[in-house]
Amino acid sequence: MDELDPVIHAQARLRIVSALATLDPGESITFPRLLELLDMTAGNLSTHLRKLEDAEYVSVTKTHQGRTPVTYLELSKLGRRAFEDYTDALRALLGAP
Amino acid sequence: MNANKLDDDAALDPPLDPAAMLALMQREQREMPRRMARQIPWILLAWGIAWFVGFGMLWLIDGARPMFSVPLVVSVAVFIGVQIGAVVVSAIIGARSGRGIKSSPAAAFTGTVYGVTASAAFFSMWVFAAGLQANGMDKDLQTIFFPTAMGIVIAILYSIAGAIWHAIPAIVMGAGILVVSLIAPFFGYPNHYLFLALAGGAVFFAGAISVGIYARGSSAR
Repeated sequence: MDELDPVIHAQARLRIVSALATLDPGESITFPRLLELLDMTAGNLSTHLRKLEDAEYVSVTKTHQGRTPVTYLELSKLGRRAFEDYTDALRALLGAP
Repeated sequence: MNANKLDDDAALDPPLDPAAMLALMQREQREMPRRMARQIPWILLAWGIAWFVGFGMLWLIDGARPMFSVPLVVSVAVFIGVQIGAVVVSAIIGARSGRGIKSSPAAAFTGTVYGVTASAAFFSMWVFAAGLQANGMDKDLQTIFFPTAMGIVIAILYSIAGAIWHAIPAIVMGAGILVVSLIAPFFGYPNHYLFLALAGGAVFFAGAISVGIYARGSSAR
């Protein structure tokens, strides 16, 4: 298991990264929309996002729509690469093509 | 990244075995587009109703004579009403489906070009029809020309949308709408309207059911 990236290798963070990886590069999603799509609690999502952000796998952009603050989340280049490496490592471990 | 923090976290959210983690990842990637598509069937249903009711009403102007006839003004008003209704439903649900997602500049450009091209295509069709009218196309021929020309434009737009956004159902529906639109003129007035109502409506209803089954295939998240 040493080869598997510990930042991604947790159920909640794998779900988050997998979901964000389905967006095109450069595409981002708001926190509430991601929360709705993943059906996680806000606290749980925040906690895991912070860990992904600390590892620079997720970039967070805070902006405003009118007067309402909006937070957009996006898998960074580093995060996308780490996810691909994680997937390859997982497949290699399982001997999958 | 603080390794201790991750170790603490691993106790609360322990990883599964590799096979289960791979399955979790694949399920998440499979279900994200499904969750995003959950409301699309309502758009297709609205267009199915618009075709079925709209063209059905146009058929009822002369199609069921001498037993029954709907006045031209009423039929045309209902036809326009259901088309506008479907446009409104599409706009509202389309906006809801895409809420919270900010496109990349490249995707935004594609979307804008697609939207402008769609508007230009419908406008061009109307200008072409006006040109044909100016050259003597009579009213009987107009009733044949308009629905098929509209159907061809819609079919092409569906297929291109399917190609851009990798949506196979849109490509299949585009093909279905094209076939229906091209066959319809051979029924002649007024039965081409009945064919468009039944077969055209059926394409959209089948699309709504197919996408609905696909979208409901996601887990209860």
